[in-house]
Amino acid sequence: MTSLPDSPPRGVDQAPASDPVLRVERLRKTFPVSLGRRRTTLHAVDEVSFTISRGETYALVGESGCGKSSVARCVTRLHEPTDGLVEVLGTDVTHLSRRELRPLRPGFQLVFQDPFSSLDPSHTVAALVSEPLRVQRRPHDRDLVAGLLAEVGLGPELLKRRPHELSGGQRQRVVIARSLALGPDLLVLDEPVAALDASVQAQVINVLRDLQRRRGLAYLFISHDLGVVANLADRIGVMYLGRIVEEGTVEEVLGAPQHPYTQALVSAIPVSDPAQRDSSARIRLQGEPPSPIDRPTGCSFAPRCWLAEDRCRTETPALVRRAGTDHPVACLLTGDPVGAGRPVAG
Amino acid sequence: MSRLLRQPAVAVGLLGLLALLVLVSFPGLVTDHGPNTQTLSQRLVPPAWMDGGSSEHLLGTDHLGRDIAARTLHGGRVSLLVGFVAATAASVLGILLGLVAGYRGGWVDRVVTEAANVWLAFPFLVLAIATVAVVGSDLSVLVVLLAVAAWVTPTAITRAATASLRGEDYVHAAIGMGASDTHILRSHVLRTVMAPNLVVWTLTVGTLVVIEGALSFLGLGVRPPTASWGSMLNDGRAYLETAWWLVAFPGAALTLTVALTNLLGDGLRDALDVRTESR
Repeated sequence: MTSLPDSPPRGVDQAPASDPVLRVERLRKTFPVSLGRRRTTLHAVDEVSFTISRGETYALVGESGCGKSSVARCVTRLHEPTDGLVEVLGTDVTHLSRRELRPLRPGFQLVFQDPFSSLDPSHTVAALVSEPLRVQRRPHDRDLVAGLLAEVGLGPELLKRRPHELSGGQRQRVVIARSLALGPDLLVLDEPVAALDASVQAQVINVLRDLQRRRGLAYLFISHDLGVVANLADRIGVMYLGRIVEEGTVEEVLGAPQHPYTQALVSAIPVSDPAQRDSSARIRLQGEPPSPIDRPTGCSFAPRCWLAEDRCRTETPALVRRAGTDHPVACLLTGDPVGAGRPVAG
Repeated sequence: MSRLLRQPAVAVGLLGLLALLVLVSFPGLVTDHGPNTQTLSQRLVPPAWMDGGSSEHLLGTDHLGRDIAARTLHGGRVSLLVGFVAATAASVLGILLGLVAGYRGGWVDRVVTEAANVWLAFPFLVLAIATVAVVGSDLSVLVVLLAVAAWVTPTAITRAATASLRGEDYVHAAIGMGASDTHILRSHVLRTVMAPNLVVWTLTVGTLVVIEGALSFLGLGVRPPTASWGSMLNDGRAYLETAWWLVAFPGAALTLTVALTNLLGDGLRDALDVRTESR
């Protein structure tokens, strides 16, 4: 094992719920854009809140452009959030500078979608995997690096290879091995298997599951693939146009989707058995999501929603538990808010 | 390295330049004559294999009875020294400016880009003449002038490559590990920009040897009697119709040097194309 001398002992048995690894509160991220002569703002992430406990996998799902990657980049502080709070391992990192973040970086690492562009083509695997250790001025030797590779199921014969000599799946495992080097508690996985073939996807998913069990890692798993998410996640947040519209455990959200958008996503999960396929149950969404620059008033899903009523276009629904649901949903039609849900300002 | 040498252009260019450097560094291998020793009784002696030639002077003598072989080799010292030193200085300056401009962006980038544009529009010879008129001609002045003449190309390619690398995921990944800008520039950017810069550097050596020749030809280079290929061409110009060997040998040496550096540069460009190989 490659547990580093100064990293705390880890394990799944460390009281998950009371020990949040990541806390995101009302996160907002806007980008200035200029359309011709008009200067305006793009709302990539709007009032997003969630927490992830030790050893837990929280999945953010949604179609491309919904802001899920912006959340990943705000959490790993490649972007600075416009507003809100990002707290990693009990430290508020929302507005820290690069220098201030440096000693905190080992606790949370990012895995990118594309294993081709996230590895410098001119370095060897040994140099790539040991880079975080060199950056953080920690001791590193061949055995340590070989141990990290072994954890993701790669042999030491790859140490001298360069990225172009590896397959896509091997590359992504090298990226994961690199992200483990500093002994993080949280991995932010931004579509880690989207660029891989289906058979290779399964291997990488298995590697991630093993690592989580062994190291007690928490995952923020960004994906557009509900099939993959159902396989790996504990809880799911469904994002639409910068907001979470439904949140709950995998069973709650995928078993009994409440928000019409989630229902549409769930109905699009491929079913392997043709006998169970029910083409009438497939909901086909019309049109594109509205632009995050000119966000519609009211529910942002209303323009594409087949159930939308007049009030949906004027009133913005909060992400709260509603009558008739067991988990928070941001849809007026699922019922009136009940209990102490998390209010979301409109 | 062995992969590089398997490229025939690289091997030929490199070996040719090495041979040239050895000859120029040790002129005694070819001739015992000093470059400035005048033997007025033996003026305008043709090369050894021609009628009237003597084995004493392999490539003949000039109008002051100086040995052409000795002068060509000693003149090569000046030309090559100036070419290599000035090209290296231009590359170092260009890489530094390009890295900063491409990585930082913003006003630094705008200043560097505008300076390069202004420089490209400015006639170099006018600057050279003005500088020599003010500070006089000297080997170090020549090196500085030539280095300044060649700064734009390495700056431009470094800046463009750096700016595009800045958006790579592996640079973001390094930031995510807590890497400093110095680490990113050194271990991710510099490596990648070195390959095109090496190619440009070789080609620049050739160009600068020619420019040095042109400046010396115009009398803006090294002071007589110091030989350089350009000043020899200038000296021999008057005798072109009667004694062609005065200009032929320094001219051939200059042409050969430029051909070899261009060969090496082209070969390196093909051999070092890391990008096409890795994708």
